[in-house]
Amino acid sequence: MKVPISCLKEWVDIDLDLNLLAEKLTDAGLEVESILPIGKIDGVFVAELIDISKHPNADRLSVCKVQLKEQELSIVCGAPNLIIGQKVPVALPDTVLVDFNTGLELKIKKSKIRGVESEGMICSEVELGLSSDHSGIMVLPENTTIGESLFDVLGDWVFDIAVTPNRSDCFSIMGIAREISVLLKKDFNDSKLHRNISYLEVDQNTKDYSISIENSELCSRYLGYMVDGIKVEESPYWLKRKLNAAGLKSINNVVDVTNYVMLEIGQPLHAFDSNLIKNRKIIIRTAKTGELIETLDDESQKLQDDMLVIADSTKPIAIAGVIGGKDTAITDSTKSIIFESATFSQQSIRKTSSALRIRTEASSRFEKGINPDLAKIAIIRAVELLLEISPSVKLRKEIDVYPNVFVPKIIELKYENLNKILGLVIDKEDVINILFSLGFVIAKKDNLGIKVKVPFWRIDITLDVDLMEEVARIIGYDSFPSTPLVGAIPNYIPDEFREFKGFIRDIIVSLGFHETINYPLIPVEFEGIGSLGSLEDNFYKVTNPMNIKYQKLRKDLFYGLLTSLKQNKHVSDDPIRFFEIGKVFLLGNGLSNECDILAGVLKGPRMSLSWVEQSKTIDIADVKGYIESLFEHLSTDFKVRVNKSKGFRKDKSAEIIVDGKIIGEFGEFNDTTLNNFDLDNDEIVVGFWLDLKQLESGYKKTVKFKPIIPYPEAIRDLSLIVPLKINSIEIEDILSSNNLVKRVRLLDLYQETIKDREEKFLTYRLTFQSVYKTLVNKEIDREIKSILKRLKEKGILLRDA
Amino acid sequence: MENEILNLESKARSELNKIIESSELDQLEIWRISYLGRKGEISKLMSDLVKLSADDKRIMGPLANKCKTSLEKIYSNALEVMSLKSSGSNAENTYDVTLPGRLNLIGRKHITTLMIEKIVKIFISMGFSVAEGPEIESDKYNFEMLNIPKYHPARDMWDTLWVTTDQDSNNIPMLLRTHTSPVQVRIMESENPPIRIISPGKCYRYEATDSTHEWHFFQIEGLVVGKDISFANLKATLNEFIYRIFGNERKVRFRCDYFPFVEPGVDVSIDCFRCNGKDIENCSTCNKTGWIEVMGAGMVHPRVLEGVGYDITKYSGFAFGMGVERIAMLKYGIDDIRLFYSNDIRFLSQFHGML
Repeated sequence: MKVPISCLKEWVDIDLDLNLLAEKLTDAGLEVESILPIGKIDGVFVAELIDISKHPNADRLSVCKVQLKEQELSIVCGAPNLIIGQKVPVALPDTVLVDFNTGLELKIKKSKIRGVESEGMICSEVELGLSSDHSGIMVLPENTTIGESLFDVLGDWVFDIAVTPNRSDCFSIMGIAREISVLLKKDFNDSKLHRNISYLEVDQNTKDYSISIENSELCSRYLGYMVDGIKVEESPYWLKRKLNAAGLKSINNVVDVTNYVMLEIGQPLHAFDSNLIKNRKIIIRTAKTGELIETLDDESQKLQDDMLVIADSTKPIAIAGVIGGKDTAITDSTKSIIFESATFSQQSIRKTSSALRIRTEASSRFEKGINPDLAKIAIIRAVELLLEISPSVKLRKEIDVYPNVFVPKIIELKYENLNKILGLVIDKEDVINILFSLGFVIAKKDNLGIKVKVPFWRIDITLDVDLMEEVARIIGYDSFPSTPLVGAIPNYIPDEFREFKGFIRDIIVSLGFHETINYPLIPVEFEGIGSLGSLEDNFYKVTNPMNIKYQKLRKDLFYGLLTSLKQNKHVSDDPIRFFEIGKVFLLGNGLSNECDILAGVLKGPRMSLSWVEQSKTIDIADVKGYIESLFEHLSTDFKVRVNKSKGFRKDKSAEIIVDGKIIGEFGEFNDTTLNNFDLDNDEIVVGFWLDLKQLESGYKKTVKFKPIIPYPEAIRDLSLIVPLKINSIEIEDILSSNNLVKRVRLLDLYQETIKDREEKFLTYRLTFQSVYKTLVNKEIDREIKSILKRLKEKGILLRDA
Repeated sequence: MENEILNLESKARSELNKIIESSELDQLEIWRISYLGRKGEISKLMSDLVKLSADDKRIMGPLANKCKTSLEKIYSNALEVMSLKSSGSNAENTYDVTLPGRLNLIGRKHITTLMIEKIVKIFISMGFSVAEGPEIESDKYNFEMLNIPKYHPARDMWDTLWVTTDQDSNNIPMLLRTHTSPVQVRIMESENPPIRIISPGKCYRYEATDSTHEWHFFQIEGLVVGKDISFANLKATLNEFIYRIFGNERKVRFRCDYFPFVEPGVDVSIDCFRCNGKDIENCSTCNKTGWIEVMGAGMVHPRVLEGVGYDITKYSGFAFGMGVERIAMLKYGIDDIRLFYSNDIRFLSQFHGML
């Protein structure tokens, strides 16, 4: 909300430095975001136009003579509205102007325009940064003194205040002035509010229009005031200036009056051309579904049956509290008007305005709530203002439909509660004085507390805590003590899963992975990678996406991770290991909707380039190795099974199985995936994911100490010839099923064709150990014999030395 | 005999000291042979012992042994010291320790994670528990239970992304949570006062992205409910937190602000640590104000407490919330929030664990 200081001064005496005042307002909850000067341009002065002649070389230009104190200047000007005797703003050379519309700077120079010397510029409002009006030069009032700086004539300061949505009363000059009066302990001059319309000459007998409210739950008050003898014309200079300073455009005297009263009082008003209202019947009703209205912004709106409209006997003439209709709008030929000052349901206005996507100064005030008592004050102010600027108008009858008169709230505040919640004992007199100055009426007081009547404009005050805030903010939050919490520390609420995730994160970082955090919205065409993404065809979708391309919520983490790889294409020869711990959003089918997933992607060399050894490119064995390391950290076992999974190379992806449940996958991404993420086809990129909740349930958190075996280990290497179809895990299972085998490690693997048959050669190192004694060679030989026997059944032979 | 032994030891020691000073390894070997060698002084001493009577042996034996071990010890020390000295001047057969070592890969946590861990740690030390919750939330938990009914004008403070599924039959509109406050409601529903919790997590807003705004960001919110919890307690708790994050020298300012779920509502700022109030006119960190907003807070609104079934005649509380990225940006001078989630390794690798 932009508030010109000159307007505030009509209500309260401001003798404080504006920066300090802004601080005070901000401390009290009205944040002054900026303090803007209006018309503060060094080098612009008031001059009188004393001569106009045609430019010798250009039809559309004139050569003007202006009088500026003792100086006489010659200025070339192209404006259509030049008249001798006008007082105009003149920018002297070296002045820098900022265009209102474009924000661009313009430096005035002494120059020749089409051969004629120009010693400055006669400015329009848009050039001075005052308004968007570029129809011609700005014309200043006749009584303006020549030679004065423009800022002295019309300069003002404007507070731009971020009013919080609860303070509907402060969406007005009056409301902010009231706050200032309390903060500065000054009188609040509200004489404007207490005028009685009866002193105006009103023809009470005419009764040629009617108002009826059909939905009183959506419209608690509707006040109409008919005014005849209207002559629609430009507003007076001072009114235009104030509207511009507050950021509004001047339109004509009638519309400007409604807008200015809205700024001043906070009550949105509307003016209809009463001759264009069919049968002069004003009906406040809900719209019929599909009913159409052309609005002031030249748009056609299709209405719904829950939207409140103002209608005449045939059709809607305004969308209540949102925007007026074009058919009954004020035009140059308007002779008679009806002012509307009404109170509409805040929910209804908000609903309608968001459904139609129309936000106006009126709708944004109505949706915050306005008390019906304000309607009357505002309409009297509007009529008075119109009479002031157009004294010839004739006032006709007022119609006030106000079915349920507002009853002020009474709230009780107990000092004990106040002191307890605020943590400070506050003087009772101070409490009373603060509330009184804010407009609260003290209905009852005793030693324990007070009962106050809430002023009608403070619809935000409903409970005793609201009064506490009033007291606290006027005293100033910084005046309260800082008192540490006392008493027993509340019970700890365990959150083991979060801690487990932290543990996993620590492990994966220690393995050399960088953590990434990715956006969970993915493109519509992305179907998912791995079996997690394809468990369901349906995705959660954002119904109001910011970018229509990204509206699906991820079901796996690979989109983000692979995008992150793409973002790091500048990394040429270093390893990249990325991981993310994040949520995926799955639908029903017994699965919880949100799963916490750990996923990683790897690319590049195994190690950073180094003199020590040549580093190889990573492959699927690396990702498997990382998974093994992770499970080793957790002291948990897992199995793998080859699978075919979306986005991975055929035969190069596998499921990770714990306790018979598939809890993750790993594999090498296929060409399609790499292409989709702009990654090189020649490069190997591998990835994995694990469901952390399932990983946690397979993880045994408790540890029981096992005694260290005092007998030595014995090592034997076995080189085996293995048929191609047999997997390593089958051999390992046989080897490790022997009771004395403590550990099995694969040392070597290669393939070779022997006698036209492709065979694998695998070398395993077995570690033998008994828990009871030191093993002797004879015993180990016996065990090896039995192992070889079982291997032979599978067609696996010992390679002869 | 006793004197002989003592003289022998002191003579040997003084000779050795001279050798160490001279740094001559050859002399050391000569010394070793003359005292500790097969035909050396100690050996002689030992053979002399044999001739003694049994009683004398019992006294002299240990004494001779002690002399022997002590000479052996000073010899090995001298050898070590002297070889070390000589290897410095003699460069043959040495390893170039300045060669780069064999590397292991270094991984780093995301700055957001590190920041959350740091903040969480502070609050845990102040007796808080930590809770998380779902990112897809209902209108009820994200808004209604927080005293923000439908069509409330304050809803503009949280531009919301709404979600649906194609197969959703019950048709309850869901949303991506706009703050982590729903977690607090859920905790209050399941736990009785007193409670102290914080809830970190990802939040979403319908918001155009620029250098200070992200549609996807992290928040940490906190909640304290108990008997006699006051505004003064709020101030002390947040002061303590800010001192620990930004340093004890910071000034903290509390101003009136509005959030529907608290009353009184508070805006918490710290004095600008970039310009220290000295160069305000040119400071972009504090936007030329000298102060930096860091948190929103307030006394929990009675309607919120009543909504979860707490007795407001007995209990009161305060709540606060902050943007994790904002705290990190301020603390580490990061000028663009978009860096956080574009995951450029040149950004990610800058932030280390002790941060």
